[in-house]
Amino acid sequence: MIDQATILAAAAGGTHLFWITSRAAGIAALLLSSVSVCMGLLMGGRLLKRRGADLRAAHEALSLSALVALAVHGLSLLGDSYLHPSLGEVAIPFLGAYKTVWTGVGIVAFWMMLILGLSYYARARIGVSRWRRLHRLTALAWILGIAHSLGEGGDAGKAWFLAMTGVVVIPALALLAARWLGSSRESRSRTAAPSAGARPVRAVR
Amino acid sequence: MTAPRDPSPRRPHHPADAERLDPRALADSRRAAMRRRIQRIRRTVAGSALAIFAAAFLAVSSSVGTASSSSSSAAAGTVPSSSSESSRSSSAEATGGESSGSSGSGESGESSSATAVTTSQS
Repeated sequence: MIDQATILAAAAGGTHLFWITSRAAGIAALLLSSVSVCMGLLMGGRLLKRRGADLRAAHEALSLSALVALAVHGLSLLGDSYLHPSLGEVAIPFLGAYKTVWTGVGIVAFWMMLILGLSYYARARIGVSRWRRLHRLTALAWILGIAHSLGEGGDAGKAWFLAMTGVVVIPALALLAARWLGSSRESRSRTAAPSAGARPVRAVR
Repeated sequence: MTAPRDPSPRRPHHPADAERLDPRALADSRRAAMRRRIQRIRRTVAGSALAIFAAAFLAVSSSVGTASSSSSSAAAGTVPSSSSESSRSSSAEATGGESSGSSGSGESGESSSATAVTTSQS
């Protein structure tokens, strides 16, 4: 199986090396970012109370790996002789001619992930609570990335790709939904609590 | 034949015993252990990322190779020199992709790619 794939890779590698590299890096980025989002949600939701430092280290390493994979995903297209995009088309959203919308969505997602991800190292300057609020937008960037992969991806219609994506994306989406539901309930209870607490005071007065 | 017994049995020596007495040394050793663990996690993640990339590379190249072989069998004898490029465009089109059409290198394979798309879709 591997031998056959290696032979096919060697056969295809001559002409499609950059194209295949870009697609493989995109798939790796999707998997890594999904697992990273899962870990972040597990940490933030305090679903795993033990091993917080280990989870944080894994989350950070996964995020950095995903960013590297995304950089490879975009930059390797520069060497592709078929699409032959310019650096601007790869880096600036909605500039390229090839599937402009989906490519633009992917580029926006990449820049969001890069800025929000690397902002971790400036959180002392940003302010921890403000940084946490900003960091929630990473989930939006991840969702945009999924939309890009399903909308544009060359492998999007294939069963193996859909199965693999489902395995990592569905748990992360479930955790995200649980977090959003939990936070909306929390905010509702917070808005309800002060009015309930104020009644006795008013009654006394 | 048995080993002589120690008349005054002592507690077994534990390497952490000395550190228990010194909280600073204990903190240092814990910090070092955590650093080692974090390094191990980083190495594991980096290795896993490389493995995922390699597996994806093989999967994509095998799918491109399959498309290439199907397109070359479909267009056998017609455009032999551009079979790989036509397979590339056919694989992109068969999966919902669109051909840019701006590149000159792929134009020679356009006629065969259309045949390949119909073959792969059927």
